[in-house]
Amino acid sequence: NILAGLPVEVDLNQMLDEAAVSSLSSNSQLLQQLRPFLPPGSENENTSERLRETLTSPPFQQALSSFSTALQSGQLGSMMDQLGMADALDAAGQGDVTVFARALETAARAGTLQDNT
Amino acid sequence: MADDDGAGNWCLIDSDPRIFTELIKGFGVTGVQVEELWSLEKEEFEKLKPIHGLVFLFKWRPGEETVGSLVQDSRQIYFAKQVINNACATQAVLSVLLNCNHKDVQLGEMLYKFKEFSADFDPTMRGLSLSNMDIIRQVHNSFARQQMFEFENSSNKSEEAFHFVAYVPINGRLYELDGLKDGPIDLGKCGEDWITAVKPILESRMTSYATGEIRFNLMAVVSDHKMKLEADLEKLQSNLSDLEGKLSKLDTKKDTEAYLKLKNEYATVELKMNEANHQLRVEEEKRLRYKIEHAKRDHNYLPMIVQLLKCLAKDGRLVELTEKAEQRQKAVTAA
Repeated sequence: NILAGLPVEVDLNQMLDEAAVSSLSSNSQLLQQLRPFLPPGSENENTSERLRETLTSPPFQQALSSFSTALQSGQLGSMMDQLGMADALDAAGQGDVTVFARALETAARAGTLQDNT
Repeated sequence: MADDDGAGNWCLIDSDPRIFTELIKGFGVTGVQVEELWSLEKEEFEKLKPIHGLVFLFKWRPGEETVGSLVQDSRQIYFAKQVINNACATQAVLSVLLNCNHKDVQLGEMLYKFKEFSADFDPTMRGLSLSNMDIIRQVHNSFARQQMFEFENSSNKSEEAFHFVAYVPINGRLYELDGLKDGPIDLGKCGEDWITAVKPILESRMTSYATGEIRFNLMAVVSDHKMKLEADLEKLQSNLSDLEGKLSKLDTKKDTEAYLKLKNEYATVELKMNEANHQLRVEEEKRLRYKIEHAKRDHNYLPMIVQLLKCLAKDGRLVELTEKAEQRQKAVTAA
């Protein structure tokens, strides 16, 4: 296949398969950290349900696709500082998701990831 | 119709009954809402009555045959030519509203004035003045699909050309109002029950598309359910009070027959009230759901995405997950 060697544009929604969504929405620490950023929803549902619902909802998936495209266009580099991911600036500028992911993990281990405000 | 050139600054909007309902409210019209129809079954139409007009969305194809005859002198009908791309959703809805004379529907000041002002214009002039109405354009554009980022050279995936047309009954005849045509299309006589007349026309239009290819969508402009139910309830309540008054004046021992009759009526009214109350609750729940959906659609997901990525990075799972995503994408692309 002639396309095999070429970089493909990755949609980060691809990482959220059923298994990933299940494990994310049952991770109580993650739930706490994501709760403030969830869209408004039926307040009688628990956070786990709301996260699961959000991750599988079209508006979120559209946003994540759009983020993926933006990331791979290399145009997000300048935003990294603002997003508290200054260490991923160069990686984001390269427009490669895996390079970006590695940079974030390195930053996380070094403890330089800023919390969202 | 959606062409990609410029689009005259009118955005494309989704064919979603909730968005159409909000659009109409934004124009200042009261007493109406838009509901989607999922089939052409009689009962589907029945529960939406009164229906003031239908808006049909379909994939536009060149050279489609016209059924019916072109109306040359269309002064009795409010018809405007579509001079701007992407405005067809708004135009189709306005075609229904501007031709509607139902007591439930209040056009509101803006549309009423517009209708008066453009009454003597020909269809092209009406279309032009419509597209020049800043307020209409602003309302229309406020329903743009949300975009998180604006790109310099985003690959504008060419949107397929979808087009909206309206079907409305005017003075006992059924018309198709399609802003791309030269005038209203007369589809013949229709009685009070104009849905019976429009059904076969829609059916043949829909079957002309390949089976399995869902390329159309049908929406009905109907009276505001909540308003109607509330008015009904008020009437029923006063019926009930009347009956109570009559009952209290009656000597139950002497007028047994009259008493039973009134009691019976009373029970019937009560039943109707229960039913109306139930429907009102259903409608209110639906509106609440719409409101939540709306909030979800308008939510800014960027902070959540960033937080999610950071959390995954801290857990040391981000690389693994993105690699998996990349592999899946490659598999999809190679297939």
